[in-house]
This record gives sequence, structure tokens and C-alpha cells, in this order.
Amino acid sequence: MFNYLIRRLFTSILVLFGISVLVFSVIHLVPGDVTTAILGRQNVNAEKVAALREQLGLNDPILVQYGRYISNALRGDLGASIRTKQPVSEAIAEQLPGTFTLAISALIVALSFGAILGLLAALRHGSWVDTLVMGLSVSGLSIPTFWMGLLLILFFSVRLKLFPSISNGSSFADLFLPALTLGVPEAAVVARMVRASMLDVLNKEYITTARAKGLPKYMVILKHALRNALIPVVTFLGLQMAYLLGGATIVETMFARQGIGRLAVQSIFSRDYPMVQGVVLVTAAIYVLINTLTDITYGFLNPKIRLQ
Amino acid sequence: MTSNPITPSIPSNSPGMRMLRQILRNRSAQFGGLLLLMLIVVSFAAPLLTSFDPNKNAPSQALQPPGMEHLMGTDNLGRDTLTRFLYGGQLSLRIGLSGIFIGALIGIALGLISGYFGGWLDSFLSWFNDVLMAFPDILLALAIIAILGPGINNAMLAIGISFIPSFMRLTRSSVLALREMTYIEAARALGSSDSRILVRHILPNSIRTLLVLLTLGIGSSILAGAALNFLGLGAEPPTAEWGAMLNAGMKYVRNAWWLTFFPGFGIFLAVLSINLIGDAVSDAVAGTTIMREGI
Repeated sequence: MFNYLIRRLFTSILVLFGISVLVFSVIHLVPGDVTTAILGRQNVNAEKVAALREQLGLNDPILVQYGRYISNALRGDLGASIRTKQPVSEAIAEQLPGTFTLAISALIVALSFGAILGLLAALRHGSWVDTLVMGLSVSGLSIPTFWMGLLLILFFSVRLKLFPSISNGSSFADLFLPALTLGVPEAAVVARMVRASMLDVLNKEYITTARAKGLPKYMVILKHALRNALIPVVTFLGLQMAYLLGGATIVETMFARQGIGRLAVQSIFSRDYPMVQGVVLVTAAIYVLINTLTDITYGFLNPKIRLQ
Repeated sequence: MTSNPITPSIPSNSPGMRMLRQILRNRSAQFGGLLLLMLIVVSFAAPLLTSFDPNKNAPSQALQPPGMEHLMGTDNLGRDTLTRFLYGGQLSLRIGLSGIFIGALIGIALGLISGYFGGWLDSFLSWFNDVLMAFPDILLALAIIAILGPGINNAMLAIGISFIPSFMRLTRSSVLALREMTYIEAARALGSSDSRILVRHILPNSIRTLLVLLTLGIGSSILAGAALNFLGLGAEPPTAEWGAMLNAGMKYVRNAWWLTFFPGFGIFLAVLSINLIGDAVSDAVAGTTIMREGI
């Protein structure tokens, strides 16, 4: 296990190094001069350009720039926003809790809807219930998040006046529509996984044994089948959480919620490169961290993975 | 009539033909195919189906609900929503298809090179792939748009680049298995060049696995394109595109539901049709693999 742990951590550090190089390169890959892109062609004058180049540290050799960027980043200094002058790490720290709250709420929606539907489909395999769940699942995977969000707003907010269409809080009412919007497509994935996993488990010999022992059906399903069927789904949760962090971009923009996704989009529009770099770096680092933790947990639970 | 013995023919019971027959027999795939064909035909036949100009303003007709004259109503500038829906479909489908083909082309090429040649090149490309995979899809696309700036072509490129890692990883793993096969050794012994082996022997044998990713990827690519346009990072006004139309209609969601309903429904139908075909392709590929390997 120790060797596996070291190997996995080393891979993650290499990937994080790659991410830092790519994120650092963002500012250098902008076609033409980055200062013109930031200031706009009309506002360009030599003094402003020189000041901006100094602020961005573009006058030094590229390796010196990268060295400074990475050593600052490791100390939590991601530079300052060009537009608001606020430290990037401070702005991200302000927005991050909102994104996490939304992602976790969406995960709860995905798990509860997905597990119930997947279980129903597996227990009624081949029946109209199975066909309906699979139909809903493929529809859930095909529905654009932003369209579903708008339909939910039309129904729950405009027609029934039950939930706010623009919300920034973390109460149930504030989170209901955004979490449903982000969680339903994920529920479609979870339903498919639970169904496949349940069908696999229901054919195992220990289920036949449990039935032969005369255990009630609900006991066989809940105690023996479902518990085992959920193992692959739980290990998949880490990846889903990471995916939801990315998917939050659209939902945050749509519901005007505070969060790093919305911050990224706003920064792209205002050509605030340090902010874009900071958001991308932090999100990708969180993604790597979650993946690493998932892999380590999986390796801990499954010795076969450790030996590979 | 006798067949020409020199012309190579595909045996009717080849795995490829069996797979195609299985896909064509699948009810969901038939429905998906029909739906997709219908969307493509109505989108590209837009000039024949409507007499309205998608970008011409008619303020006196602003925000008309769906009716006989305007089947999908009009927008805030009086433009016919059905006309913009049809023209928008052309662009949305084009962005989705271009995105996936850029990703597939580069990803497959890199995967072939990485898996076949191995060594430091493989290590470097695999590491680079892992780095790209560490970015959630939409975030990678956003980072690329941040570099290149908003616009339709840049959105296509951003989507394409965000698909490279999946294609590269799948191709590489397929090549790693195939390069040790006896027929590849035989081709090498007969003096075939590396590029010939890659293009004539390895690539055709990897296609079946890649086909699933390619088909399902088109749906994801259309969704990603629409999402970028919805965020305002793709088509510039007044260009009609489903995602951009949804974004523009959001302001009127309370009193003009048709402005957001129809473009979203278009995206949904397009992605649904492709996912239905993709599922059938996936089943067929799994079926032919099982038959081939005698499992």
C-alpha cells in the first residue's frame, strides 16, 4: 500500500507541475501582445503598457517569470486582479464555498434520484419500468443543463412561484433549482450505473443463497444486493464531484450565484488574465486532489488495484 | 453476373457488416437516425422552408407568441423564431461536428504515435494527456477561449482540444494491445513502414472501439458548443445559434417562453438522437467483440 501511495502521489505532483506550466502559459499564448488584448487597442499608450508589463512581470526572462509564478502560487499568492486589484486568491476563497455548496447539493440530488431509479429499473428488468427509466436516463444525458434550468425556472419560479429564479444563498429554497439543474444529468449517469451494478449483483451466488435461506425479499435487496451494488458507484463519486465543480460554471452564470465558475466567465469577458489563471489553476488542482484521494481510497479498498 | 476477382469485397458476415446490421435493426437507433436526419434536412433546407430573413429586424412584430404567421413566435427584435431556429440548427450542428472531428483527428494521431513508438515520446505524451485530463471539460474550453478570445471558430477549436485527451487515451490503449499481434509482426517482417502499419493495420482495427466514443462524442460536442454559445463565448449577435438564442431569450423568460423553449428543444433533440445511435453502436461493438473473442 505504501508503494502504491508514493507512486500515486508522485504521478499527481507531475500532473500538477504540468497544470502549472499550462496555466502560466495562458498569458504568453494570447495572440499578439497580451497588454493590447487587456487594455484594448484604443487605450494603448506607452506608459500604460509599460506599467502593465511591470505588473504582470513580463519584462523578465520566461524561466524567471515561471519560477516567480510557481513560488508565489505555492505560498498562496496568485497575483492581483487587473480590474479590481483584489488579490486573486482572496477572490477565489470568497467564491469557492458557494461552488462547493452547489456541487455537494447536486451530488445529493444525483445520488438520491439516480439510486432509486437505477434500483427500480434493475428490480423490474425488462419491464415497462426498466424501459421508462432507461428512456429518462438517456433523456437526462441529452438535456442541456441551461435549458433544463430555464424550464425549471418557468415551472417552479414563474408559474408556481415556489422558488427564486435568482438566488445566492445556501438555504433549501435558494439551492433547490440550481442543485436540481446540475444534479439531474448526473442522476442519469448514476441510474445507469446502479442498474448495471444491481443486475450484476442480483446474479451472484450469495444472493441465491440469501434467497434460499428464506430471507424476505426487501432484506435480500437492501442488505445484500444494494450494499454491494453501490460500491462501484461510491468510488465513482469522486469523479462526479470533480465534474460537478466544472459544470457549476453554467448553473452559477444562469442563476447569478456566487462561485468560481461565474468568476471565470466574468474574468474572460473582462480579459482579467491573472484571475482566469487563478481560477483554472485552483479548479484543476482540486480536480487532481479529488481524483488522487478517490484512487487512494479505491486502492485501499481493492488490493488488486494496488498491485497493478 | 460474375464479380471481378481483383476487386476486394467486404464479406457479408464480417464483424463490420454484422455490427452495421445490428445497429440498423436497433429500434432506438432507427428512431435516433430518423430524428437526426430530419433535423439536418430541415436545418440545411432552411432557405426553402422559410421566407423570413433570420437577422432582419421587424420591431412592429416584436415578441409575438407562436401563431399561424410565426409558428414559433418572434423575438424582441421581431425576428421569426422558426427561421432563426432552422438557421441556428445549421451552426449548432456544424460547431458540434467540427469540434469532435478536430478532437478525434488530433487525439487519434497522437494516440497512434504514442502507443506505437513507446519510449520517452509515449511517456511525455501520456503525461501531457494526463495534464489535459485534469481540467474539467468546460474549464479547458474556457481556458482556451480565454487565450484565443470569444468567437465561433475559437469555440470549435476549444471544444476540439478538450476532446483530444479522451481520443488519445483510447487510441493509445488500443494500439498497445494491437502492436504485439502476430499480423503486425508479420507486416513488419514483410518490410512495411511504420506509417503503413499504423494507417493500414492498426488504425482500422482500433476503429470499432473509437466509433463509440466518436458517436457519443458528437452529442457531447453539440452540448459543449451550445454551452459556450450560451455563455456568450461563441457566436456574436445577430448570428443565429441555438445556445446563443437561449441566452438572448433568457431576459424574456417570464413573458416569452418560446424564445428559450424552442432552441433548447432543438439542442435536446439533436443530442438525444445521437445518444440513441451511440447506445446502439456501443451495444453492437460489445456484441461483435464478444462474438470475435468467443466469450
